[in-house]
Amino acid sequence: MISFKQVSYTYPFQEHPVLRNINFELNKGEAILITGPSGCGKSTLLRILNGLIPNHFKGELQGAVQLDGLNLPVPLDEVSQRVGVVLQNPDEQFMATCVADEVALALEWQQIPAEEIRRRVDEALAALKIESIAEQSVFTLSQGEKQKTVLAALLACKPSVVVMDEPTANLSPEATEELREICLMLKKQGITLVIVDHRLYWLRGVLDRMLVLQDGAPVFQSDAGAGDPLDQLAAHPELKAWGLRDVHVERPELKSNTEAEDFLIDVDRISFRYPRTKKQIYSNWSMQLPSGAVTAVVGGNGAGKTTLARLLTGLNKPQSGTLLFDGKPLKPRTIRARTAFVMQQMEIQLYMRTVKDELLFSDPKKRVGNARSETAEKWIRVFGLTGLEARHPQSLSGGERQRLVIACALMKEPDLLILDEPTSGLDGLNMQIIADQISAFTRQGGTVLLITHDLELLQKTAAYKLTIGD
Amino acid sequence: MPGLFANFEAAPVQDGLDIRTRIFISFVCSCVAVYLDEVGPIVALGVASLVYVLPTQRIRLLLIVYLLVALMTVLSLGTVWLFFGSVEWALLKAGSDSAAMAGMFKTQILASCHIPFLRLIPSLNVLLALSFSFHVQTFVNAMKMLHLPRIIFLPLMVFCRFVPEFILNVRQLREAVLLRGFSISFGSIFIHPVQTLRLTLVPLVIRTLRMADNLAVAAEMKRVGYVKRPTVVTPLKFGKADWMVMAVAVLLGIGLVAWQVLIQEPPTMRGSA
Amino acid sequence: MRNKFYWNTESLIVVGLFTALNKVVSLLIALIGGGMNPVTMMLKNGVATALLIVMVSRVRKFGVLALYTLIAQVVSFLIAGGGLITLLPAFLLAGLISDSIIHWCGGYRKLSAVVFGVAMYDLLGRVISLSWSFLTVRENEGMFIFGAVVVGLGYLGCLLIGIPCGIKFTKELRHAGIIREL
Repeated sequence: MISFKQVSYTYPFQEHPVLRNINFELNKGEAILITGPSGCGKSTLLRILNGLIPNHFKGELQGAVQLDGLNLPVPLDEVSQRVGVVLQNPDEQFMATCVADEVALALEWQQIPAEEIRRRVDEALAALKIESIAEQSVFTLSQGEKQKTVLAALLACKPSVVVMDEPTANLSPEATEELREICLMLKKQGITLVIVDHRLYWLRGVLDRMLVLQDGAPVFQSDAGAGDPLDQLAAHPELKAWGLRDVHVERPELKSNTEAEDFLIDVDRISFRYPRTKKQIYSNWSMQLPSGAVTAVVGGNGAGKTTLARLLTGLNKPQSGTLLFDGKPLKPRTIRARTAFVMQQMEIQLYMRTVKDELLFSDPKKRVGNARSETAEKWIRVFGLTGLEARHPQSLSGGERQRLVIACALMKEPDLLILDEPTSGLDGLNMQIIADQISAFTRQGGTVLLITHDLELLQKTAAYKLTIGD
Repeated sequence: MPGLFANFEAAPVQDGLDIRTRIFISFVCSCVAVYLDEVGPIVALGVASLVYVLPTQRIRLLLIVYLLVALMTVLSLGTVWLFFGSVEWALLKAGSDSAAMAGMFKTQILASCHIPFLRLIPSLNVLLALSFSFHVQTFVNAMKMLHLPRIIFLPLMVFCRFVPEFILNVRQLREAVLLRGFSISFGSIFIHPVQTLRLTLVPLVIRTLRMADNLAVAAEMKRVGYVKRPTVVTPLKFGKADWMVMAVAVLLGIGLVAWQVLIQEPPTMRGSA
Repeated sequence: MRNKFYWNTESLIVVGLFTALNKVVSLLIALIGGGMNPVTMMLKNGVATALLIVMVSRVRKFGVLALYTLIAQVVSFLIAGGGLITLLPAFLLAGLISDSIIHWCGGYRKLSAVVFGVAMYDLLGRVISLSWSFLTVRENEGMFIFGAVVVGLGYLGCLLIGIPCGIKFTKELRHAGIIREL
């Protein structure tokens, strides 16, 4: 079905190849995981598979790639007839405004008759069990539902290969489990899967092959017939050096927030609903946030995890009840001066022309002269951004950008740090740097409220859990 | 504009007239409104358009919009009056002969402001009728049915999909900036104009360009835009009511134009009195 | 290479996105700054010009200004319920003239040519809308003169805010690799 023989690729105007000596073969209905630290060449490999290389990106492709009987390179539309691609952020793939229309979109542009489109859309929606949201607007979907919509749109086109780029980056553990079931279902239908992901644990029992890349070259390749590729990887002596995520991940057992002794924030019988949607999020709800530790917020979709962060930073005001910061009620402005909130959307939190300027801009003007610059340099060093000081923040890679945004938040020297999915889409190395800095911050007395689906980050940092909803 | 996208979360329900009929009526109405300049026909057009918008049963919203328009009218008239008032005053001080002309403009504004604003009412009514029944998805479908070429259809589809997205982004951006200790407000435009522009536009433009790249890849993979026109899965129904309403609109338009021509018989120079 | 049409999907997407961005941003500025004041007017027009410069530098195809005009006009037709659609041919011509200017001045890769073309485009567009507003408020010359002052102020915003911002943005985006230089 897919075969790579001695494949190397060099981007235009680059001296060194980003991919070297890639060899693997995959049969119909099999699944392969391609993983490795950021910048290892995974994305480039995907671009070969979806035909963007060499159709969109020129450069030099060597070796032989065979895809469903085609000898690449072939025109893009011949590739896209066979390969369906799930890109990293489902939001950025939707062109239609409702689920059923998004699923039908590609078929419509292939000028398939309306009857046939309707039948195929129904089939695809049923296969992913999302018939109930067929008429829903894409703006109101959860991340898991968005992912399923993208998959349904692919299935409707009847691809023979499905390629997924970081499919679990934004998914909750429950949605990740559902995705695992979907992968098994696709394999059963004879669809070949190519998965690129940093998270490994969820793929147990799904994979037939595995390829770990580092600096564009394979450092590990699983043997067929030697057990689950994940177990083979776990047994490899050099595993630690590759900067991967853990092979085994369990949901950590955390103490309840009520078991702590010191509290920074006291929420007393608040009620809140958004004025627009009128949905009641909290009614007469009380909680205390442990001080000097990481508290993880636990709760399902729409339980009000992000809303809590918004109330704590004064972005929204509760309709009733009080919120005490250090035992005192504070004005939203004062609260915001003492908290830092790292939101999910990274692009809208970077404004300046260079990395260093970005950090200097985050300084609340408490320091003067050299001290300011030195603090900025300290954070640059601590977050492993050395050498990137003069780069444009928006030209950084995903992991570097996420580190920079958190460094900016810490530059503010807040009492409370709120993090909303700080490690989505990051490799083990980047996640470890962020986890270490979160721990260092709490050791110096800082309080952290952590909203995340990342079980590994929870394991490494969280001390308490705060349950919202049921 | 908020009205147009207020109901993007609702399920697509097509009630009453076809969206194309409503677009057609808007077109006829604004053409006729621009032509008319006698009070009688314009008022008649206003009444007719009111009859057309009332069945949408959004009376409260309608009243709010009217109130807003009235407020804006008074405000802008005031501004214009002040503008010419101060020009007149300045010219008088300078002893210029043109002062009288500015004064004339000043009085004329208040004397003949009613026609342009009466003209606004019918257009407003038909626009509201259009936006009350507007749903992004039916609208996209209507575009396909209109057999618009892909160079219009595709950008419009993207437009409809991303206006709500951008509104959301702007809101998130405002909050992100607020959390950094800056606010984007009326005051900040004056105090830190460069910084305000930087904080708002840089992230938005970059996000837009990134989205364009990703969306383009996703679209190419789906072969969107590779043929002249896509299949229409759920064709809109163009019923008897649509033809009738359209015919009534055209007849009414012709009637009103004829009425005005009759009033102005024998033909005289139209224009400022 | 991929798409047999001159206007490939990517260019059409960029034009659609920038039309949406432009509408949302001008709505935002109007909401923050209030309607009728010179600063808001200048800012609104200036920002629109800056965005246009970025868009043209990104699409780099002959006719992009005309295409943008077409889309923006159809959109405002749908939002404003008609009226200006009658001016479409005039606006399209303005777009094509400006496109030709960019073409003759050295092409879409040359920032100065793009800036000059966009400045011309803004000017032509304003002349056309002013002539139309003369028709709609013909009974009231004072209002027309006032309108002309407002439009003139807006154009000043394009020249003083829009063009410097547009140049700065485009250079920065190229530097950051977000607009590819090739």
